[in-house]
Amino acid sequence: MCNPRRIRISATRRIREAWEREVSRVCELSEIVAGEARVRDAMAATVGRPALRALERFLADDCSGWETVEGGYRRNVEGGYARYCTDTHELEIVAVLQEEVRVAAEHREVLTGEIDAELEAEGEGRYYSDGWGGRTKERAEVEAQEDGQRRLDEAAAKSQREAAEKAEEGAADAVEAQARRQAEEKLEATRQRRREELAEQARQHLEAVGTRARQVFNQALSQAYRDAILAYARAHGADNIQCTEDDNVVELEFSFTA
Amino acid sequence: MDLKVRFRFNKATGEVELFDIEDEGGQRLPDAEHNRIHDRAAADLGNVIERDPRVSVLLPGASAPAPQAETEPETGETSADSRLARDAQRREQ
Repeated sequence: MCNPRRIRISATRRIREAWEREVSRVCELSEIVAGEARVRDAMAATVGRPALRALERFLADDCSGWETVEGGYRRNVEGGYARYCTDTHELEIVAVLQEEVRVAAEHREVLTGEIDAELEAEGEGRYYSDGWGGRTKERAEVEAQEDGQRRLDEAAAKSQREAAEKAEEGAADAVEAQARRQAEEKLEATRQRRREELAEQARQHLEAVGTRARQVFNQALSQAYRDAILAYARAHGADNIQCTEDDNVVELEFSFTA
Repeated sequence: MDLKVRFRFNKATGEVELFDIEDEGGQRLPDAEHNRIHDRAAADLGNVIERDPRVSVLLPGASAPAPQAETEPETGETSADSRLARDAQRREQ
């Protein structure tokens, strides 16, 4: 036995093969959806102008507990909020129910194509000049042919895989965009449906929310009444002004000459 | 005319429980003038807190009108909140 010898052969193959690749993308979306029910009280129709002005001054105060929002003032209560609108002088009571909705949509596309290529590969076989162990030159030639074919098979599979991957890469954005469109359509439908359902449920809570909202509003109104009446008293030279207040009742007393 | 004003507001119910403008009786005036001054003062004070206050006259010895009667808005508007529809009361001496 001496050093092994090598036989190398070049193998070529022209391939025209169809390939197919399924591309799928899933898009998941979520959103907080709120359903609202509301009722409005027209304060300007019932509250006197001095008290209304005092009310708005009080609501604007940082210490009032009311948050300044566009067009008015707002205060959250359990299950909703109260909002006073400075343009219309309305007290708006809103019951709010919200929940997170989630949707998912999957879009699939089957991509097809064809490879038309000339492939080349090199095969190798080894033998001993004395044919040791049965490794003859003839056998090495067969091995080299087989090795060349195997490498051509691998090259063909790789070409198919690369062609499909390239196609997938090119189509991925469109498939993903389609999945997103479908998810957005689902979300829109779900949003609309849940919003209506939540609004219906919110209507059932409106009375309870209204009670809580009016309680906090009455706190503000009591300040407004007190400030407006005291302003009147002072403007008319009142004396013996007494003002008492506990958790639930505000009392004023004064004397003046008309 | 010397007037005494008493006002009570219930924050829990949102109701003006009392808004009483009472003549303290320190000045004798003809009835017509007395009523005019008293009515105007009651209306002025009522207008401080209410858009269109009604003034009820309570004669001496009379009890105050029942709260429900007082809270009926004259304009027919629906008032879910009775605090806004309380009358300014004028008590005759």
